Amino acid sequence: MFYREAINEVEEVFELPSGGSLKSLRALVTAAHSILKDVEDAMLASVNETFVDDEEVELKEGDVVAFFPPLSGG
Amino acid sequence: MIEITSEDFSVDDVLRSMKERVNGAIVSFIGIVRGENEGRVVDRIEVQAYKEMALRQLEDIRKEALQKFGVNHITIIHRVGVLEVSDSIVLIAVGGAHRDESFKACRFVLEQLKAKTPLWKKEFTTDGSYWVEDKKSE
Repeated sequence: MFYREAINEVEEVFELPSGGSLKSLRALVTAAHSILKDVEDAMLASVNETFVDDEEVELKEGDVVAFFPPLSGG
Repeated sequence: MIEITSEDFSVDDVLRSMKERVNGAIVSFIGIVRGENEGRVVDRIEVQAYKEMALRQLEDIRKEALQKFGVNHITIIHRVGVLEVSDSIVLIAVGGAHRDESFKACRFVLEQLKAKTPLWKKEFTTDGSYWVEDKKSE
């Protein structure tokens, strides 16, 4: 979708300090890809294929996180 | 049945599979590619999915609707890939004992799909290509 095209990546690995939150990972991602900074407010997130609203949720080793734009299926 | 596929689907086959003794009503919704959006002429669209998560979400929606409305069967098929104008995008079919709960379940599944399933549409128009941000009325 738009993000993949914007940053020309499908998957990327980020090193997060122990106890890092979803919010801190998002900050790493948007710092690495400034184009995503402009669309950050509308960004949705999932952890291990489940939507997560709470940005303070603590991430664990091996968690798979996805950031994506507003949905438009159907 | 839940499916995310690049292949076209047969509405007849799905509806026929729901002709069982327990069902007195079959309600279906078919979303197709519209050739116009916000004044732009749409040539084709591309649908992308976060497939593993989308399948999980659709299965959860299906289970919730079965329980909430007491219908017997729900099939959801969503296509991905490049689709031309008038091609089918999505099929939701519900088989239930009566029409009222079947209509309600079908509408529920559609609205939940739009709100909770990681699927995205890109439109290719005469004015360029755009990722769609859905609106409630569409």
